[in-house]
Amino acid sequence: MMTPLMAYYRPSTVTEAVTTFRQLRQDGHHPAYWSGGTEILTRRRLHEIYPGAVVDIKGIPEVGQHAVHGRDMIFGAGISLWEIARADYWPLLTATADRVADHTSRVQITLGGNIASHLPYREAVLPWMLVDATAWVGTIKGIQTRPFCKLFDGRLVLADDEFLVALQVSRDVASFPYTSRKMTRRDWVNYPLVSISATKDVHTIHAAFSGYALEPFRDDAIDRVLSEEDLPYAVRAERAVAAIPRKAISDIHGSAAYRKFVTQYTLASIIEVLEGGQ
Amino acid sequence: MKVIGCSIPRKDARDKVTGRAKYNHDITVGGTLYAVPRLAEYAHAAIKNIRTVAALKVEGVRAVLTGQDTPFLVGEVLEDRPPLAHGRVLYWGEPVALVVADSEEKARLAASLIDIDYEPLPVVNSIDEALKPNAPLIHPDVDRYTILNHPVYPKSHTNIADHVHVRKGPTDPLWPQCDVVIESRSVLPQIDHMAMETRSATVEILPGGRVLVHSTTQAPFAVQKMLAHYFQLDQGQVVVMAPLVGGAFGGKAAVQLEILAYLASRAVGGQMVSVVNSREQDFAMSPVGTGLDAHFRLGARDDGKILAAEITYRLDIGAYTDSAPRIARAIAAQCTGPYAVDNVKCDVLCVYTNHTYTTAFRGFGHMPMTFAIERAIEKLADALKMDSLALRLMNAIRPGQSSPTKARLTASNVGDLPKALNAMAKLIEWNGGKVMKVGPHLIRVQGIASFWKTSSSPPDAVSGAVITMNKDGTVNLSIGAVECGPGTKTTAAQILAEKLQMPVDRVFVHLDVNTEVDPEHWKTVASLSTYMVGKAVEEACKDLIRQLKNLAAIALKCSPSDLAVAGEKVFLRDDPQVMVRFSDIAHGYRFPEGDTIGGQRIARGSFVIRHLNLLDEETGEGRPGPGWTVGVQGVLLEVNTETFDYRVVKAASVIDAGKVLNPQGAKSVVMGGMCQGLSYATRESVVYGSDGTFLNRQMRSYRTVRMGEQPEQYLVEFVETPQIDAPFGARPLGEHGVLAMPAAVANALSRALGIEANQPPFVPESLWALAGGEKA
Amino acid sequence: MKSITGAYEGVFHINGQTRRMVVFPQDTLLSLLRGHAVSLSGAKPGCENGDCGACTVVLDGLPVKSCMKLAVESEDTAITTVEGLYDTEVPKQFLDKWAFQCGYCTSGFILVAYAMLLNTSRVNDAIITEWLRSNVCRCTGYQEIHEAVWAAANARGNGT
Repeated sequence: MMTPLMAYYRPSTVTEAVTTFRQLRQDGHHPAYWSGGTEILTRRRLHEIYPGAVVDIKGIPEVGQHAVHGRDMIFGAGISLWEIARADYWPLLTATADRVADHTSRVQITLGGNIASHLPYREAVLPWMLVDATAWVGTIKGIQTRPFCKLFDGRLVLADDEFLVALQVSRDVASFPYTSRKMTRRDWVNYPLVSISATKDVHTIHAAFSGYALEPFRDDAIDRVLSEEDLPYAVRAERAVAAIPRKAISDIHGSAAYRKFVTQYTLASIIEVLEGGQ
Repeated sequence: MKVIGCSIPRKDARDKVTGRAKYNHDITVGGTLYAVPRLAEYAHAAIKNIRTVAALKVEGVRAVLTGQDTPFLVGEVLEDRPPLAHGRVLYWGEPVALVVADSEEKARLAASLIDIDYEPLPVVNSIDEALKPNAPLIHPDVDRYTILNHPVYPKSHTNIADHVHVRKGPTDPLWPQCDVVIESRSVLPQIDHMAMETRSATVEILPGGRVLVHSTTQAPFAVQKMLAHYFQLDQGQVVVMAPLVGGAFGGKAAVQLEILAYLASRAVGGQMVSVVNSREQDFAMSPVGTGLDAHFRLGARDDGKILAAEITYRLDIGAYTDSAPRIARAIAAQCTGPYAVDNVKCDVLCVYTNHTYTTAFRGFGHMPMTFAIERAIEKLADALKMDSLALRLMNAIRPGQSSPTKARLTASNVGDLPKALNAMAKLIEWNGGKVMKVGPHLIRVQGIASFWKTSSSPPDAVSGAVITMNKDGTVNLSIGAVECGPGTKTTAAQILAEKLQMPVDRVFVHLDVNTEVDPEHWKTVASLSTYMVGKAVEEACKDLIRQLKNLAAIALKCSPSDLAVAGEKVFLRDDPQVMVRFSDIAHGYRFPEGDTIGGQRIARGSFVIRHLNLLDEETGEGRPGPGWTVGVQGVLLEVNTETFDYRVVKAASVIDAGKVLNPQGAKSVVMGGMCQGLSYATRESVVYGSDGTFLNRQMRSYRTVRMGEQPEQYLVEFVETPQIDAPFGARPLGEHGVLAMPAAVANALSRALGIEANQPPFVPESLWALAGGEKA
Repeated sequence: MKSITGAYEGVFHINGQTRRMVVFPQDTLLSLLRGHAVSLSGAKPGCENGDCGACTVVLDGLPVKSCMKLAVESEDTAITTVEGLYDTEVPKQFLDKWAFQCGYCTSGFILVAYAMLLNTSRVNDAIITEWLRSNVCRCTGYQEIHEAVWAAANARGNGT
């Protein structure tokens, strides 16, 4: 047996990428789309995955776009979390993305890579769960657009040979009141016990959670409880935690009971920020 | 010329900040093979079958070894560990097979393809489980193992690898005279050294019989002896080279990878083979630091005088003993902490578990030990309603008293703890540990803790120094201590420069160690290098000065006793203008006529610690080290009583350094130790799953302090009570910064939250749970 | 389309020098730098998992953990390693402030600090902390490193 190579392809169009991917798959190379690459490299080193080839999508112009166009903001999947924070088009996305991993890693981790991660966290997805966003998907027929809410159900729902090209959202969302909190066991740089991104439009607070359960989630029932303006913050936070439809996880970072405790006081402070105007 | 007491820049500084300093695996030779172990995925299981066919089919694989190929046991004290598991695996991560291949990547792939059938066995996952009456026996043959280095007393048909006793004072205990008696239990997890450079070793067996070893070791001479012993070689055949080490903290004093690399090289005809730990391997396979479960009973008069102590220390040593019996004796010898107690009963047990085996760890057991002592002292202070600093002061160990193992204490060997305590009170503005409210839900509180430590080195540990002179009068210094980070080599150069009254930048120290050319230094552990190497350097300097004077006396036509040495010159005491330069006599003295006498000046110094002995089996009586370093550490914490989050505002240390040889160097090493100690207190522990799996074997899950999480302010002060027999009076300092930090944090947290914080690490969740958790 | 399926001769720009070197597609930048062809061993493997920062180098002005970057992705970028910062302000201040002990993590810290100064006109404590907590040091108390970075910032005019 030969040591598996990991062949490297860098297409310059979406169609070329998907065609290459399909061909590699057909030839039995178990290809993977490559963006920042950090997760593939770490998993490959531990022999958790054996990709025989990677298709680097960063050479595709649409994957690298990062701009405000007319009424919309467009974030290419290949944009690094560091670049997102530097440009700061959408403060909530900045605040959330800027707490992923550590600063140096964020130079490399990309928006698409973080959202497509196999880890339970995928924190950069949280702001997108709170707005009406459009996803650009790379398919064999070129770029297709789909509503992001249809594309993400705890994890990206894509065909094996499809990949996320970009995310698009109205500029209006950048002016919503927002807050984002990442709570860890102890350290600033660590996976979250719970990471919460929240916005407020008129009377409704919307919150999305990562780290609490096996996948990121949001829920209308939680938002309703959080938005009951006549109740004290602490009471709403307590009820919101009770309304979470997911099972809190217990792991080396913290027990389920402690996750609930942290989520509760964090939600109370989030409501206070969103309603008290800092 | 003054060198001692000055902040001399380190000899390795420029190479290190420019990335040019070379560590063990920075220089590789083309054609080197790599050996990669396959690790056990069970904490306790019988190995039923190992199929290596698929691994051997990987292109470039040269050999696959299993326990059957290595049918012998190794150990530093008790020979209980097979290099590769025999029949059973005893911890998660234990090496079961070893693949040798052309490249590391190929070897890793092949190792992953080895197919092993296991039959899981009941896992002993804690000290308590190990000591249950019907506990599974991890080593059923414990009483039949060979003892390589006495003493160790394994107990047959138990999981107790060793038992050390300390009995001091009247056999009729003083408990009835005590007005107050407290009990306290502390439980500390195993922790990892996590040196930034993982452990690695390269071995080549030459046809002529020489064995060349390159290793990240702190103990090249121990590696030499172990390989010679286990592979029936003359010690001179084994040449161990230890370059700069990327952090060690005790973890690189154990001999493990060198044996694997030797076996791998032997399997491929002696070719050069490297074993380089991945970070995961370094955590789970290579030894970690011991866990501790300690029980204290302390009795005191109502004025605070401690009369009696009954103590049990049970160590989670993991699956093999390694240096644990020595650690147990170190703990036994200092078991009361730096307090005078006339009636002591102490038992230290080394307990086998199905955890990763353990070895020396910065402080050699004294950090967990100090934690347990200082939590008990704090509880006693509470029971007595006494200021805890005052209680420490009243009982502080003093000259004229004796240690728990009845070693006589003098001002020279024990230093001045009361002075350090008083200095700490000023430094941290001690307020008795009162809780100060600083905001809504925010309080600040102080905590302090004292420590002491001696070397607990073997009574026959040696050290040496060789000085050679270059023609231009500069000197080369060769010592056997490894540079792991604290600046050992620079300190040795300083001592030489001071003794010869010459500029330290004209002293060139061999920064690496090679057992073939450098004189032996026992091991670079126990903070002893300055003392032992320093003594040897002093001896070598005396020798050199004698040689220089003898030769100069001929040149200057006088008696050697007329001469003095300074500024790279030998001159008449009464008329310094009558002199010869070092460069005139370094390689012999040449008369104006051209004929020459003498030759190269080569001086040597040799040292062995005097008057140490092994502790008595029944009472522990004995002298464990040449001197103690005492000190006090303190913290000021800010605690959020709503979220249980907290931060370290100030961290302080006052240590009796004897004499500070290099102020900036000393401060750096102590600060670094404090940070590491705080890291243990606030976040670090090895986490085992319910099946004994080593869960946090990566740096993303085994968390340490990072930038921004260090104390807002470090306060470091030294008291100087000279240790008369030590070079310039200096006491050991290298390990001590860590020793009492976890205890100080626990003492502060306990006061802040009205809890007994006896089980580090203290993450907000553990404080929340202690304060009532869900029920609160 | 760039496609690399085996041994490949790439062009790399390291510390201002252009070098042609043979790499395999799965080689990391760390292994390229430490390999025999270049032997720039200042970049250290500490975890090869992106966790510790000891292998950090600077690519086009930004810090990157070289264990997490493919060599073939680093073509056409300006690669700076610690060896390329010889005699510059950051290493000088690390030396002056005793901001190292064993020295193994040091080059990573120096490169992050260097990149921070390239990208930040005015540094402050929060910025230093945020950039440098990407790295792990096991010997120092971090304060020495923090002081060295401040001193370098002041010397370069990025201070306050």
